[in-house]
Amino acid sequence: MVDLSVNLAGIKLKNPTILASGILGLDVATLKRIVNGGAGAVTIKSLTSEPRKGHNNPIFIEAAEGAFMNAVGYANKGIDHGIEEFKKWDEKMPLIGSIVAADAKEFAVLAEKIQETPIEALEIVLSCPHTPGYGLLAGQGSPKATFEITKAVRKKTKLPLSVKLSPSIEAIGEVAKAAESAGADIVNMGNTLGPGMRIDINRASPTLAFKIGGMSGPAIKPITIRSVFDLYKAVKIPIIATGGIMTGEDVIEAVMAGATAVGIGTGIYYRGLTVFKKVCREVEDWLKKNKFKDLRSLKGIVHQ
Amino acid sequence: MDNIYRTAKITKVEVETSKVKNFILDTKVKAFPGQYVMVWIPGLNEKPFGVVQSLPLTLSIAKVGPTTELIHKLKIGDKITFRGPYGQPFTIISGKILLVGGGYGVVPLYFLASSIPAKKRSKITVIIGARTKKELPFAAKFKRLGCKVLLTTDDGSSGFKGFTTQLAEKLLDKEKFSAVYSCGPMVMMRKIAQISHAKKIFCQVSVESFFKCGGFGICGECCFNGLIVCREGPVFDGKVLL
Repeated sequence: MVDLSVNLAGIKLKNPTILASGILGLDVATLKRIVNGGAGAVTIKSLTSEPRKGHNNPIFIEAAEGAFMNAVGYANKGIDHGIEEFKKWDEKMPLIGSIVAADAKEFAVLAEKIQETPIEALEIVLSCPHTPGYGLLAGQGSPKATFEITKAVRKKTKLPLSVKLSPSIEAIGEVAKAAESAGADIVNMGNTLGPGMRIDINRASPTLAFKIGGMSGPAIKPITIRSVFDLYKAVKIPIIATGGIMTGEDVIEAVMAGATAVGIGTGIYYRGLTVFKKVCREVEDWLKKNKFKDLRSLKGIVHQ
Repeated sequence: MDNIYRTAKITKVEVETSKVKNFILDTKVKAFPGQYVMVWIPGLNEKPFGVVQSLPLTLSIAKVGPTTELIHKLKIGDKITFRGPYGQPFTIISGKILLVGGGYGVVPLYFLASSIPAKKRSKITVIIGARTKKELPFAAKFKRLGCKVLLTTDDGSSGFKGFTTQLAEKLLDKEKFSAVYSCGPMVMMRKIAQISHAKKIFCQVSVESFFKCGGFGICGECCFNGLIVCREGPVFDGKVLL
């Protein structure tokens, strides 16, 4: 028997696969299906102070072979509705909260509020590439803003705190260090890549309604692996590798680069809701074949 | 490849009712009854529409909001851009079948009926319901296919005065059907599912939901009781509504 369990900043996960934020995380009924799909933890879709309609359609397109692009624009029913919904969480599986806000002050308010739900960790997202007033478009990806926001949230919660970063920032190590020094327990590497754009030449129009969007899918995996590799050198806190993780071999690769766990999103499109089970079985098979007794011992081995 | 946008031209526009127009395009898709395409209006929005016919691709569009209002202004020669088809189709059971459509919900049921060989269509009964005579779509089309057509209107201006569910219940009490397919308002489909379940008849419903990613099954916006409508539906076993 190989051991896939991981300790993510004090939270015990039975396996390293986590449903990434923004994927099917609007309600408890749907998240329960991800539990059955074999995830180690699930993340809710990010909540904002007020309900948001998000961008018009198209919000999600196939951008190229193995690449998707989205600009959802944080469509959600707001924190109050989210609290009512996620209070109903009665699964043993860790639920990870996710919030986005315009500034440190608003982040702090949301961080305090969301603790009315049974979340076991909190993720703050400072890296959305396609929503005015949030993430990259609000300058939250800089080391300074990251420090300020993380610190403000840290004061409001004792829960393990994850900061979701952007793969599109060059000096990502500096941003991660800022998060770590402000008290973050985990860095999630990361959000969608870009923004990018596609134009439909038959209509002479950008395809996404918001024109630009963040890229996901297997094509962005090399960026994720390199970013995780960089972060492993920069910080001591655990790293979640998100972006292009589709298979068990992708998980092994991310862990070798330095990840403790992985986020899966677009993988659901390719492999269904049981992608988590499938990935874990593949990790297990690989570990057995290569005579490793657990996943943990592979962490960061390329750095040795 | 279904995710790649295709642009076609409108070759014909039929006025079905005051609210519904049929758009016939100069292209075809490989679709099964119950599936839908996502139609994109550049600069405005993208919405799902049930396929009425796959060759040539025909869409029946009811004017219900800004996007469909704009589509209704399109004329012969104008472009329509779409991706798909998406979704799970109906499972067609052989034998005597009952179709129950509320308003323009009857659209995917028409594709279902037309996919059944002509000589077997006399075994199909379709109940179409609307508020008033003017809003009954596809009645003539179903007759031309060779189906038995029963109409209901809330105001009694055509056919049975009352709801489709009342007429369906009477019919199912009297005659034996091997399957019931329904598309329309949720309350109507729920009632049809309940009646079918009580009589142990195979029943499928086509659930309408608000789509964002539309077909990818990723964003979660369309989920209903944990079901991903855009990908696992829109056609479900009637039991999901019980």
